[in-house]
Amino acid sequence: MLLALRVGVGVTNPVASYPDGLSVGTVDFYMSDEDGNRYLVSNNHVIGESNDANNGDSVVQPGTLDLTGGEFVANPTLADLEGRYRVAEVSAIVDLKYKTPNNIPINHVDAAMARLTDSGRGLEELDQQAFGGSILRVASPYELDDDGAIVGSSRVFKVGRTTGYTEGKVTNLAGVVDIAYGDKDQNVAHFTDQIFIEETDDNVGPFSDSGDSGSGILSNQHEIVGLLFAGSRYRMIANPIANVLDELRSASGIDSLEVVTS
Amino acid sequence: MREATGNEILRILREQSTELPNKIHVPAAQFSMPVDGKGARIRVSVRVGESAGIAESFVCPLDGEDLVVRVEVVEDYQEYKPL
Repeated sequence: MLLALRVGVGVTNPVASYPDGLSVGTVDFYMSDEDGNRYLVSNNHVIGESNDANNGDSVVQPGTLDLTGGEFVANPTLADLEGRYRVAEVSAIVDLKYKTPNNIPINHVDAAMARLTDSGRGLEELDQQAFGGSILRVASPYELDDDGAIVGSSRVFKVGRTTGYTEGKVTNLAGVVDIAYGDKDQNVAHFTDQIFIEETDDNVGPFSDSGDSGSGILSNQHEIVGLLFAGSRYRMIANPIANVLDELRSASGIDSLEVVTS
Repeated sequence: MREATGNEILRILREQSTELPNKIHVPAAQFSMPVDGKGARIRVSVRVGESAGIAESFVCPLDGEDLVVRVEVVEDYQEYKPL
């Protein structure tokens, strides 16, 4: 029996690595276009292989790191894996632009998307829409009061492959950070306009961890705020959703892309 | 000369990120604006032992106007990784 495609569960682009390398990230929300296509959204470093993937590459669920021993043995080749677990094909990657000795290009997002294919997988959770149908709209950018505090609530939550449902709070805006990519951290990307998130006091454990990349960040008004992509033990970093939409529209050439909402 | 507002600091962070290390005279740092309601400022996150000598404010042009930008230095620099 084939499983439903699930939000908050791991996905992988296995094309370049399987079966020698296993990895996993998260898919949490979808976009659609005016032609009725639906796309899962995650990070470039999850389904775009940090610029090394190609459009048309398979995306599988579960992620290869989450395969059971039996599933791994039953699918010894990439073709076997794709035949069994392919749910989407990569359709747009926002290139990560890395620093050089003479240039510091600006990155706003670590994002990619993949068009859902006719995989025969149950799409019940997609029909319910992500987060159990609780994405009501795309959030407007945060507004600040005269003291520099967020107007309204700074509380957020996410559902990720590794840490599941967790709650946090937005602590900083317009963050400027360098993130190292690659097996040897050899590629450094300079990001601006990032959202910093920390776990709330009543949260057990960290807000997120490895494998949660690609999680959608929702406000307590059920508005999608951002796309999680990086972090440390104490602080997580998300791309603002407006930037994600803008750059995926640009990378795909599909101006009609919108987040699937209830 | 007036202090930059929160929205102006957001713009400075977005538009002048690569120039900030030179303006604030820090080697490796992360920048952001805290939204804790304690006033509009840039938080400069530096490694332990690297906070000495960093000014409490600097002057930054925005739309042709020089603005005073408050600086908060915290030794909480963290190596962020893709998750």
